Amino acid sequence: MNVIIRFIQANAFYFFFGLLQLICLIQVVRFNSYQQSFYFNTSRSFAGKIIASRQQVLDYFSLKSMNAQLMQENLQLRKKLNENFMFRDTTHFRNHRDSISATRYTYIKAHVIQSSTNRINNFLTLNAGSDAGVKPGMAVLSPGGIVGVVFDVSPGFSLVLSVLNSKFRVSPMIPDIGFREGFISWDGKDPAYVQLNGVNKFEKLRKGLKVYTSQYSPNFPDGVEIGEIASFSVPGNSSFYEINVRLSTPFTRLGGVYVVKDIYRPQIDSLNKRIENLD
Amino acid sequence: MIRELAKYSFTVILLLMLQLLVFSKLNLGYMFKPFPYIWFIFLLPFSTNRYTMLVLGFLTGFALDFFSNTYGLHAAATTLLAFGRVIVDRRLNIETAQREGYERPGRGMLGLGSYLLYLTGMCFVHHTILFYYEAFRFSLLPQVLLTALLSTTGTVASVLLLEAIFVKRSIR
Repeated sequence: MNVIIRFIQANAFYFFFGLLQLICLIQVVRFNSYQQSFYFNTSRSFAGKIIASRQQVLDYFSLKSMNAQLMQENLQLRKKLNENFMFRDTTHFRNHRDSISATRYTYIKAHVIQSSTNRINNFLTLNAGSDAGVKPGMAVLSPGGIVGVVFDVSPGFSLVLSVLNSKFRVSPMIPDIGFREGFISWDGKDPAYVQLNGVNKFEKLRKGLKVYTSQYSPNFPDGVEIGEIASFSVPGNSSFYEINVRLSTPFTRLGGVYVVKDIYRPQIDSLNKRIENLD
Repeated sequence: MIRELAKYSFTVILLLMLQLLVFSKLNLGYMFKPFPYIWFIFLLPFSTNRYTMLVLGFLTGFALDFFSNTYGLHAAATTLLAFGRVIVDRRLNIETAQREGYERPGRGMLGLGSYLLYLTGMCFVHHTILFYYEAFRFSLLPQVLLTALLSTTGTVASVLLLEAIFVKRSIR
């Protein structure tokens, strides 16, 4: 230590000169944009090269977890492929329909960009509107089941009356027991369950029976899954069941949905209008 | 002492104004940039403390930088010039020169040839550092050296001219 101090003392003039030069160099780099950019570019590219080569080495250690991650992502993407979305139940119940019949329903892809499940009257917003061909009254399906009915449209977006809405009604059927009556509505409590009303207490129900939309629904194609019977009871003197149906659509995590376009809908509507005109 | 301080302050202000208002405005070509303000460092007497010499060099350069927005460039070069003067002065026989009445290195003391060499060497070192910091790139070194060489001729010529104008023949 002593030696160092004596060395500095003996060469104080040179150290002072060095200090002044250092101050100058700092000034040059600090206050002149050209020299500054050169200095920072050089140091940054140098540091960047070091970081890049370090990452190159580290990447090998994370290959396994990265592979797993990619596989997971691939799986997710594969699940989203269009050909996965076969409307199983529609085809399943097509046997009573003539095979030479023309296509009745086409589908418009859309994405749920806004939804709620915590109110009594819930709505969804889709990113497809009248420009995509969506019209009020069209049914909306998810890969899992029914979602709702289009309520209003703008050019780019559409508002959907959710199944979880006190105004929503759909006609159900339970093909396993040949049942087609009553209606599905929501009591505004649990977003996982809807209520099946108007089922005669003499029907032989059991838990786990699948409930589908019936052809009596004005909007929905028949045979789309609604859910399965979770619980049922006959309250007091009533002649009807109180049935809870567990929805097959996961309303809390909806993503892609399909808007059902009924090609014959205008014909049906115009016929219905004639009925109105009779009065 | 006060008179000395006033004299040197006046000199440095005059030289800096000359540099800023005349020589820096002269557009004599991108490789020809004389800096006669550094004459101030040569004007400092032998009796100057070596630390004072460095500080004065630094401050002179800093002042020029301050007014020409080139922070650090002239300060570095002029500090180096002051350092060089200290180093070179050690080699000179200062006591004899002072006894003969010379207060600073000049034509009379060194002889014209040696004095020109002395001036040219000092200016060249100063200009090289200055232009190198300006270019700030090693690949531009040949251009920096050429610019320094050309500018040195201009600086030396203007210093000699100033000397002829402002310094009495007897103490040159």
